[in-house]
Amino acid sequence: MNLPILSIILLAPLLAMALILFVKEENSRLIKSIALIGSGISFLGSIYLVLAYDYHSAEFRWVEQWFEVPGWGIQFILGVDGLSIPLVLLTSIIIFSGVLVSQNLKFRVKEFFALLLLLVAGAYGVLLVLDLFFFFLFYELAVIPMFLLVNIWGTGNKTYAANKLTLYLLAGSGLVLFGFFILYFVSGLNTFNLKDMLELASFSPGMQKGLFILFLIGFGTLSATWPFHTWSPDGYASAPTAASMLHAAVLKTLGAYGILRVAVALFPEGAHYWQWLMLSFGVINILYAALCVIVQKDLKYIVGYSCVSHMGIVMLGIGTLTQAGLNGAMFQMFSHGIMTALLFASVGYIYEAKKTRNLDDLKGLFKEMPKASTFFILAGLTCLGLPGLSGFVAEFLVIYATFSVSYVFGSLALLGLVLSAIYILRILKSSFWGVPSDKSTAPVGVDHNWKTALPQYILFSFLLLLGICPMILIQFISQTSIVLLRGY
Amino acid sequence: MINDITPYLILSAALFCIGLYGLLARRSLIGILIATELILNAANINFLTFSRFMDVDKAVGQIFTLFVIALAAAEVAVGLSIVLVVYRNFNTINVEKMDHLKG
Amino acid sequence: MSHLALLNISVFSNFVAFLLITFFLKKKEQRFLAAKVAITLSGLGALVSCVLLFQRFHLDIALTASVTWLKWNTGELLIGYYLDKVSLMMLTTVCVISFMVQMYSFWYMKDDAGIRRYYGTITFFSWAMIFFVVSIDLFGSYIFWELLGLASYLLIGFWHEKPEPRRAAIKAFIMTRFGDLGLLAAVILLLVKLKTVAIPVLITAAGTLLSPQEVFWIVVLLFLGVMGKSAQFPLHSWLPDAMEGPTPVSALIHSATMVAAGVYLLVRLFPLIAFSESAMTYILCIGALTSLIAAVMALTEKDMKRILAYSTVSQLGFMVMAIGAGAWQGGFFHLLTHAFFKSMLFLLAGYFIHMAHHSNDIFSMAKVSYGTKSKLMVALLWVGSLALCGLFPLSGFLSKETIFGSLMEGHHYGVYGVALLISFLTAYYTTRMAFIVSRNGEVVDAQENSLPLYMKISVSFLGLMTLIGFWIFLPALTEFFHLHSEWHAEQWVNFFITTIGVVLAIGVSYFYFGRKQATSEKGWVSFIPGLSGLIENKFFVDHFWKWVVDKGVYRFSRMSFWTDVHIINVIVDQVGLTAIRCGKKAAALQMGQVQQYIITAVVVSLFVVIYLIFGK
Repeated sequence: MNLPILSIILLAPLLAMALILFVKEENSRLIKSIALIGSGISFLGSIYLVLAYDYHSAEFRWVEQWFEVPGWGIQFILGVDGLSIPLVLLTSIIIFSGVLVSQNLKFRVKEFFALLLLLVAGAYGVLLVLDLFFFFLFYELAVIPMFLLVNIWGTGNKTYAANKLTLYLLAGSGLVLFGFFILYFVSGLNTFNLKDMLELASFSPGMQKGLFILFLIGFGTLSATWPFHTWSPDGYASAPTAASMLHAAVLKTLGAYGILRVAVALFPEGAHYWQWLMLSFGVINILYAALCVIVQKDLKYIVGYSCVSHMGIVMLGIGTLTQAGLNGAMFQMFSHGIMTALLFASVGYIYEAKKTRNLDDLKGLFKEMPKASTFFILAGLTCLGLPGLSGFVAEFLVIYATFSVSYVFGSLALLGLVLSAIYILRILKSSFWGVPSDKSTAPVGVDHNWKTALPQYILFSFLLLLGICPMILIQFISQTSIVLLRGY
Repeated sequence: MINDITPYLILSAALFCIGLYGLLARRSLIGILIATELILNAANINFLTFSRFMDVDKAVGQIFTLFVIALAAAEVAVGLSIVLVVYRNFNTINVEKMDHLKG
Repeated sequence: MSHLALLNISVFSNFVAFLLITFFLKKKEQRFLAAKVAITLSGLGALVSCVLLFQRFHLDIALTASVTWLKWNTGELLIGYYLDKVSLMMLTTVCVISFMVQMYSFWYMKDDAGIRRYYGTITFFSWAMIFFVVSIDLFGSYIFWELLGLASYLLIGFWHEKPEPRRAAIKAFIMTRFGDLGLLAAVILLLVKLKTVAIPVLITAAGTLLSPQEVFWIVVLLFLGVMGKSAQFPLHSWLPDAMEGPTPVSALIHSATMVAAGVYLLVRLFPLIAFSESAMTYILCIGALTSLIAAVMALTEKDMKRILAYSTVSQLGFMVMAIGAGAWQGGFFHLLTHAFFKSMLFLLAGYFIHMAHHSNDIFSMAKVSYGTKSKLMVALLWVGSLALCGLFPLSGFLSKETIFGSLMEGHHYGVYGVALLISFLTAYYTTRMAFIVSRNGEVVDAQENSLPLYMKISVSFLGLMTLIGFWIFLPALTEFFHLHSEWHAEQWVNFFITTIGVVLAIGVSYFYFGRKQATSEKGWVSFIPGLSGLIENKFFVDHFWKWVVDKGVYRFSRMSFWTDVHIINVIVDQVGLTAIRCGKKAAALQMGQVQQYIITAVVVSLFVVIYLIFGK
């Protein structure tokens, strides 16, 4: 039996979205179950991918070709390798728990889930297609629903945030599109097919340098590289929980995925030329964003900035251009996704119960809602790089790789560990430990029951699993990073 | 003189210019409609003139003219009804008052 | 049973207790059951570790077992056991003390609502500490080192409803974390250079594979981690503050085991460290400075737990100093003996605090009248204190004497003098504490019933170890530490010098605090100008760190955020606003006057026509 497994993963959310459009708004339970089933199918599919993948080779597997546009070099090809499989799994985990988190939603349920599923279909598309044209198409598909999600279901200064986020990302993808066209014409192959391009195309050194920086900034904007990062805290602070989870966890890593998939794989000389820039971007992201977190008051801003800080680790890992660094970067993409989603889910839950996210108004959360706080604390500990949880593995590998390239950058990156400890413990000290204030507005029994805690259990189990047995994930990536680096 | 093309063209041009002036200068919608009629008739005269003096099938120009006359009649019917609706909504048919498309 | 299985039991018994408490014994009424499970399992671990000690101590081959934890093209990390004599002794010490403290805690914490959380954390701590001790890979050590930090953070902040424990906890975590950066950097540098950080490799081959320069930097970084964890100057100030935690926690973590982890690491990697003379000197200086400063700090302290905390810092500095002088056997020996008597002293402090109606002040303890029931405790207090002074024949004497002996043999006469001074100060402040606490006042003590047996057993066992325990093991230890089994003139001179120093200090202390009519609070310290001011300001170390955090971290973070809001965001917004403004300008053309549009169209087409006619 040969199931078109990738098509199933890609189409399940789209189909669920189409079905939802035919359900009446009042029937919100049905809508939620359809969304859950749709994302559940993709989840199962990606688990199958993970289990069935043979990680000894780094070739594209499960390749499916749907159709091609003759004469234009546009082909609809799906395929995965060790770089995309972990991210497909990540996307599945996040959307599944994101749908679970949103079970309490009451306002315009139908549109919300439809848009959420559209967004995730875009994300799957980017990860699965091997054609730059469709890569771009799906990317745009993932960006646009976010605008509506923030604008309609958001909080705070949402119009500003939505505009900023969308325009920023479109500007970044504009650069990327420009790059794709140059690739199309300069490679001389007249094709958007990435597989062919990886095998056949070669570029002159000058062209490599130019294209690399183009993609670095284009994709870098999507992964919130300093100084193109300010959309991220604003956007996430305003977005509804599930949307922030998806966006921070999946879409942000898509930027880094693009850098690896396109820029690093195609332009080895360009990568070497701009290595210093990647390392500097990485270190600046880590330190600058971590410093910014320390003075934040809003829990979501804290998570948003810490998210920017984590992407610095990814960038740093890529910048080392060594196997350990790439392994670390990809590990960080995965672990960052899960951790940030867990943080956002916990913050969302706390916000729902307390109606505030301001650290000054939140006191003694651990006493008031011990279970919900525990998850935030555990995710926070991942964030500060506690061994035994997945964040540490990634940070260790990346910092190790950085040290093997440059002591200066390595030492600077180390400082980030202290800063993250400071900001996480500061939040715990001011809002989680201690006694709840007398003006406590939370109703009795606001704490989790197992149903509301389910998504958090799912997310945390992955953090713990990967923290204890990192080889599970590393074995997927290892071979791929060797292949990515073969031109070096 | 009857065989000279110039006077006909001058007449047509004059008519067109008068129409254009009316189109641009009148503030009343009715005036603008009338000016449009003048422009259309200027075109008609041109059609007939060229059909008469050029070496072509004479029927072509005349058919065009008839078409334009029919069109003009339809246009007046539609135009006047629009004027009526505008008057009902705005209580005026002064075009300067109608700038809702202003950016 | 194989030794590996025994080792597994002693390492994981605490962890099993932790899992049981965390996932199964969750209900409020199960809190005492949780505590009993923890005590039983850690008792099992302690027993098994003792069996292991007796079965393996005569063996010279280390027990190793490991699995690959992470692997890439230029490196490999292991998780596993490396059990040689050093780790075996440390393992037994940690297991036994952990068991004793957990047993004691049941008495101390029985009225606390958070007893379940307490036992959950403390078993987690014990597991991490035990695994740290036997870890085969320096990277594994780092992992558990960090977990120790977390457990310590949670236990210092155990009473998180009060603000001081919260502050102390965050301070402890951040300061040790800062040190840990050094350790992590050292691990990474070793990995970069050697592609492995397995401890057997490091202690046999590392020195020959690295240049002295590289060893120096690696050791300095490594020592930064030690400075954080073992509270060496200037990263020591978290430890006295850590006394905000429950007293048994101070006994286990902040005196006997976790803070000793740094010293243990130095002992563990001594063959590597010894390759760099300059690094050794650096370690020596920091150790001596720490030991001296902490001893001075303890001179006028009134809080019993803080006195003990400063003495811990001082003793740790003493061990570090000994290792820096090359006497790693002495340092390690002192680590072992110190663990027993210091944990006992802390447990006793818990008892006296309880008696003095939950006041830590030694002068309020002096006001309490101790009845016959307290006789045992007062006696043990004296045993512990005199062991801390290093008086013959207590265990502290044995290890201190070893250090002094090595110093003299190595002709480190300057260090010998400093060590003598420290020993003098230690004896003075320790007996000051003991004299004042054991005064018999008028206030009735808070002791409600007779003490439970298990509590007495735990304290007495530690007392027994202090009194005679190490004498029993002395033959084996002598062989292992290469001590002199026969004493020559040099040893006798050494013995007399140190003993006279200690006795003199006790005499001074008796003069100021021991006599019936003694009223002095600070003793002779007030006669030395400037000293009490310096002590009150804690040698300005806290001021320094406050300055670093306020003027460094917070200032930079405000600057970063300011840049974000006032520079980057303004630029971004201006780009957006410029687009909007251009749009506004362009929109002005759209005036809504159809006739204007037509004029424009006519004029433009006129120009087009003119161009078409005359342009060519």
